[in-house]
Amino acid sequence: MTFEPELVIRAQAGEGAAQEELVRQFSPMVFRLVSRFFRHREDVEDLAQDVFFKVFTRINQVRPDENFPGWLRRVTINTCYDELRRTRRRNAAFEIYGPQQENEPVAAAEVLVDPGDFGIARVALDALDPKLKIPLILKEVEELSVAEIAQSLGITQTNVKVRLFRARKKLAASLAASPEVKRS
Amino acid sequence: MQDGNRKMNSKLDEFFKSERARVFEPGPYFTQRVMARLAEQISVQRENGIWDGVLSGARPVFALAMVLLLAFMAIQLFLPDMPERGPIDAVLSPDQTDGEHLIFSGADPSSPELEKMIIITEDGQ
Repeated sequence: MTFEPELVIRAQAGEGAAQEELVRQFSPMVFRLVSRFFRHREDVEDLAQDVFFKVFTRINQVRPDENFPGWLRRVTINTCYDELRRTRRRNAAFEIYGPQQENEPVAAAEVLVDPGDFGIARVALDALDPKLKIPLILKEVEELSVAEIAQSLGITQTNVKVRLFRARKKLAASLAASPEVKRS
Repeated sequence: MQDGNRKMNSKLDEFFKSERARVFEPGPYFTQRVMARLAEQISVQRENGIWDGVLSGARPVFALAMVLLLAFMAIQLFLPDMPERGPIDAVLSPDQTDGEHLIFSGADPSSPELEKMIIITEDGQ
């Protein structure tokens, strides 16, 4: 299915059918992107809804000559980034002030039970700062180029390269420190 | 050491490969849910009154300002305008002659025109 820029203009005019068509066309892309950062289907669905909600409340910001899918990707990544930061702050606060949450996205026990299922790599990746985690996932999992990542995050290509280098280094250090990797 | 690094890199590559395969698809009613949420938000925005546009912290100040403004408008509306004459003027004015009235009305008594008018009115009486 090809994307018609006319749809955006109609959605900007408040036409419900055009908005619906945009959701239908782009929800697989938004779901795929959000899935890269969150592991529970409910979280992914909630965030995808947030993304489209933001998209339609700010759709007048899209210029007629702008690349809508690129803009949508930027909104999606920013929404994920905000949520990752919130989750990280919440987890940090729980570690200090409260008991461990029962439904943590990645529990340590899970890693011990099933070490072969990349559990340690997942824990190491989730422990990364969102500033490092997002470029790394976009590069290694989403297979975007450095230029595309820079455009999506609104930073320079050099900055992307620096963040990728630091992310890989931290990930390698976390993995090297894990008992399972040491054993092998 | 190099062998360890290579092993770790290949493990990471495998991990990233497995992450690529982990994708959730939108459910059959996702579009309807988004549209329903949008419609709900639009109706909430329509229901919102003047108070929802004001920050909660600023509401008491805004309310006080509104009360003061309304009170001022009510005073302006219901109280009569300030009379041009004071109570003493009002009591004494029936006894004033036209000449006295000219003097007490604040006109310059030394002006020759006023003097002439006073003489004329006094003579007339």
